[in-house]
Amino acid sequence: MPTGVGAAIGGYAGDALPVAKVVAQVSDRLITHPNVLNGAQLYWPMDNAYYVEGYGLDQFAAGNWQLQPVHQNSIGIVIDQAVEDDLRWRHLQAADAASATLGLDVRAYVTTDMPLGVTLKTADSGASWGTLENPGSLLRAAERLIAEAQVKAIAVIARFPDDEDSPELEAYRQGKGVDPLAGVEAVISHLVVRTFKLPCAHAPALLPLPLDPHISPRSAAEEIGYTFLPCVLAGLSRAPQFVCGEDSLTAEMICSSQVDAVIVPASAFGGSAVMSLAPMLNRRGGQVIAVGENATTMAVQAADLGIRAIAVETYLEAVGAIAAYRAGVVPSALRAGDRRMTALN
Amino acid sequence: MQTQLVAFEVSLQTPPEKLRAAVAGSNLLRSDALRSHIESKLTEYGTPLRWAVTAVDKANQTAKVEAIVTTVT
Repeated sequence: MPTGVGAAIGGYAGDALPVAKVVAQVSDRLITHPNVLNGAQLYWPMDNAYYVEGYGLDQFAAGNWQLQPVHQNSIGIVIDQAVEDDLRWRHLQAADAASATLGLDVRAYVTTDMPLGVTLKTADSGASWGTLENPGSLLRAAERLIAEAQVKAIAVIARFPDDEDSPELEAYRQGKGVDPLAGVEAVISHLVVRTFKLPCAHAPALLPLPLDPHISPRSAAEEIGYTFLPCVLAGLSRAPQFVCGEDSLTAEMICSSQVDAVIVPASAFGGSAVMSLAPMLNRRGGQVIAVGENATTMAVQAADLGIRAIAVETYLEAVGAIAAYRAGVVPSALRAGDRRMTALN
Repeated sequence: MQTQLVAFEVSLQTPPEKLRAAVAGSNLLRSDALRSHIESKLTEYGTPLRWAVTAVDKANQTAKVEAIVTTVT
């Protein structure tokens, strides 16, 4: 489920988590990214779900990086200098709470040496993205956490613009349109992962919004507290580490060649990870599943790229397709009507 | 370092020198070959952070690409 493209399922506040829970039930392992598994203060620990940031996911899918499962990661927090005192304390207390109640190793925090300067933008496709005025400050803070506190994962808290009156935010709270924050959140975490090759996820710092009794349940997870940090800390605490280079491969590591199935919104086949995995699965007889109901702002079908996919309408059917695959049953055998062999001339 | 959005079009058609990278029975690039082509083109703009094919023009067999890259200032 790509980030920041208005996915009808997964485009809002943790609203793909039910899908992830069920897919994990029918899979040996589920590999997905923080935006699927994060629900602000809500999350659901799953032993066989791997929390892999999007840049790392692209590298994993391309076969450049492997995943090393871990029991736990020590976590460091980067806090944008632009976060006001009260808001900073709310986040630090959320981190303290995660240490006290969940026992997580949240080891240190660093305030950036300059404001990060987050700006939100929208691309022609409708996808959200954005820029940082001072990306170097983000990387310097992350580097200090790694060097001075030996952390193995980084949570970033950047001050995002409070755009209370924007139509994009209003639509998002109603469970419509594109998450205006998601694109630049990906930019932030991608920068850290690309540079340091360790797990990273982002929680935006925002002032609480005025109460609106009519917001969508899909967006409600982000209305129930001062921070979105708890799910990020829980996810990072067990996120697999990235391993680069085949020389260091061990039996516990997960490689892209072990992937048996990929599930993709039917209109979003143009992402890097899907374009890496899908042809490999086509060649190996694995499953590429296109979910029609999960509409996005993208307009790239599997067939447009020469990818063969099993077309289903819902994630319920996608889960059924995976269960059938594991059982060694061709999905069409579960439907009415006869299946006959083709006679080759 | 700066982050910037770049957008461009690429052809989906397989150049003759890359026929082995074509989808069987067609003249279209396999998606993994297309991915390599896009990643190579992205280096003209900077170091890619994320990218996607966002739309496909079937009539002209072209794909629109949007990417976020970093550049050193």
